[in-house]
Amino acid sequence: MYGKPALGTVLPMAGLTAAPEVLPGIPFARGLQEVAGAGFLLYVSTAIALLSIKLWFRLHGAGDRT
Amino acid sequence: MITELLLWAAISIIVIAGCYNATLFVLSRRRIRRTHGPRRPRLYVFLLACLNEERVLAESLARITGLPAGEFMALVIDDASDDGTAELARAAARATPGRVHLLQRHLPNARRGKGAALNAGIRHLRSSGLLDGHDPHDVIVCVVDADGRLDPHVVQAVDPYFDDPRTGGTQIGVRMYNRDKGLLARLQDMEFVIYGDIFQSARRYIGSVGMGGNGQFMRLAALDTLMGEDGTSPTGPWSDSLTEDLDLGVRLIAGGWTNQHCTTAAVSQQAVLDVRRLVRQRSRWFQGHLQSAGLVPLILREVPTRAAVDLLYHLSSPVLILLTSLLPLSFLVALGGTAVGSVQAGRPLISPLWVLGPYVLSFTAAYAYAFVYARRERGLGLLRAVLLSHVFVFYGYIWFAAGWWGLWRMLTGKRTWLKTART
Repeated sequence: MYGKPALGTVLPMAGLTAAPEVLPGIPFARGLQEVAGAGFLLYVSTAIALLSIKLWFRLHGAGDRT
Repeated sequence: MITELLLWAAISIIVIAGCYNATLFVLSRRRIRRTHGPRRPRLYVFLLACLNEERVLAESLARITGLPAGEFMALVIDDASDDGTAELARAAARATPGRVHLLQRHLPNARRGKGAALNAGIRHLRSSGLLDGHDPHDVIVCVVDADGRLDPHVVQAVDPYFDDPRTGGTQIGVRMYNRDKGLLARLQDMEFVIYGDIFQSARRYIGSVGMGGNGQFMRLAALDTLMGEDGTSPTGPWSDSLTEDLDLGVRLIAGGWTNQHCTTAAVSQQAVLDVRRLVRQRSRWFQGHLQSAGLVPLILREVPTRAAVDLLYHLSSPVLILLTSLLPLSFLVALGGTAVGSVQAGRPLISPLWVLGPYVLSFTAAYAYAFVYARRERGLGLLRAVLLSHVFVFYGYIWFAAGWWGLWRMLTGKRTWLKTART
């Protein structure tokens, strides 16, 4: 996708890991980042599952021409 | 503990995407050695699927008929246009006999998407006898958008790639011919140059080059292999996906063909000059990308491992875009909160790291993009390219809006789209 170049160049809230909770809006901002993190862990789990299936196909010589 | 894990997982999205982009940048800088077979004369057929394209078609046809190439023809597939598209094609056919042909489709069978129109074009080429006497291995079909302006040397640039009998398709670069018409057009030009010169170029090493729908050259024999084992598929090589080009590129790789990317020729198209229309266009692409998730089983079964890993990452990038979109929102909320907190505390609570950290994570890639774009656009200069690439980072946020819109349309079962209007 053409948007890929921009994917690694967003403004991440890296400082949130150490941000004080007392500031207004910080809990919400932290929550947004936690949702993104949870989604990414789910993404990684799915990716591992798919790569395992690919490995299985490769080991069993099903269709892989490498 | 779990909170910490989730926060760092979110940052990992950026780190992983950054590592991927950096790796492909390095790969894209390497020279590639191509396998050459014997030179053969080839027939080039340019397919133009047109729906109300009278504003731009004449210029595109003039470019094609003026190509300094040997055997070639253009087939205009008029998808039941309301305007003068068909008449323009007829006029071009009269002016250049044998070079331009017209296939007119009529409702209710027309206007069923670009893939359906292109499939009709392939069927017409077969049934009309235009390809009689030609070996499908030596017929190269090129999809060009109606506003596409091909470089004059495009056939000479692309033809050597097809000397390798394994080459199924070759994608050329894409530029915006109206890139001087404002910042939005310039950023789209930069986007396509970066995609072609970094990502597509690097994917030649991985074996996962994608097809782009405009300036997409394919060997007819390769398209034939996508039509079912008996070659009698009632539809044709293109699917009805909103991103039929992405779909076709993956199926070519799965079919054992090699896709190439040609960096020495380009097709220029019209940039969208309105943000709202641009977001709508990208939403359509995003939704098509989501539809392409159906290709995953095929990739797992048929595509070589290295290319498969890259294609899986590529096809899953919409998920990453949606997840990533939460991060700048989080940043803005936190920044606003900290500003309010600073006023309440009577002293600044924003540490310099708040500026430095996000800048390094967000804009490091901008320097690489500036380097690549400045090489293509010599008159721009490196300094202006660097400034432009910083704006380009923010331009990428368009995908966040487009992504959520595309997801919404997908979830609500909406699949029809109006094409992007020409200006």
